[in-house]
Amino acid sequence: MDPTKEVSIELLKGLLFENTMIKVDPQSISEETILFGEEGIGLDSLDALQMIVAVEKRFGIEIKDPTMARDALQSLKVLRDWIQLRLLSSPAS
Amino acid sequence: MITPQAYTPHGPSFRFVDHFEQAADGQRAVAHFHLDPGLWFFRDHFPGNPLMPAALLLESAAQAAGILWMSRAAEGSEAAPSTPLFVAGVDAMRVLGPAHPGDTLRTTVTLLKEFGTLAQFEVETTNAAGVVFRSRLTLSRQLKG
Repeated sequence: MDPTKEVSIELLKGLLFENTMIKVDPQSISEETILFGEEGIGLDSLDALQMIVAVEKRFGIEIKDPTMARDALQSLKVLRDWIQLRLLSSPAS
Repeated sequence: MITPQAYTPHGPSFRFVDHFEQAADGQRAVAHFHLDPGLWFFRDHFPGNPLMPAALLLESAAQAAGILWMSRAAEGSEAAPSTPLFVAGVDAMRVLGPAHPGDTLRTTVTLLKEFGTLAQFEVETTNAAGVVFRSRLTLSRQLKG
């Protein structure tokens, strides 16, 4: 895997706060915090799009399908594992 | 050449695209809008110092993005799509210069990401003096994203 594309929870939390309208204390977000919907911290589909564009740009992974995005963006831990899996399986990595 | 009227629901006094040309790749387009000195907003913005309001530079760019998205959706069909589009988000907006009566605005729009009911675009508007407006816009096919 490309070392410049190392995936950490802190890096993903940074992307989250830079690219969405999140209005909670960063300290309150754990790697397992549910991000979207009423069960989570209330991010919406526009926030999801912003995060997807940010992840694509940072890691060179294309996310085409809204269902795939919903799965990947459940929490920062799920997103980290999802990105790592794709980076490891990518021939360019 | 795409006819803007076919792809915008706006009435004539709120349509800020005169000509629209889509690139062959379908991802980019260029829209032109001539700032006729008689346009309604110049009278009061501002009296004696007419400038196109920043909100309308944004609106013009959003209309160009909307025409690009609608024209992509209409590919292969004879009728223009009837689903209205709405501005859902504006990021990294910069107004970099004034747009005066008599200018012709040239807006380059690039589709960054199409995602379900949302699409994000990069837009840049120039006049003869250079870049006057730049932003990243998100349009939605529904009022609540």
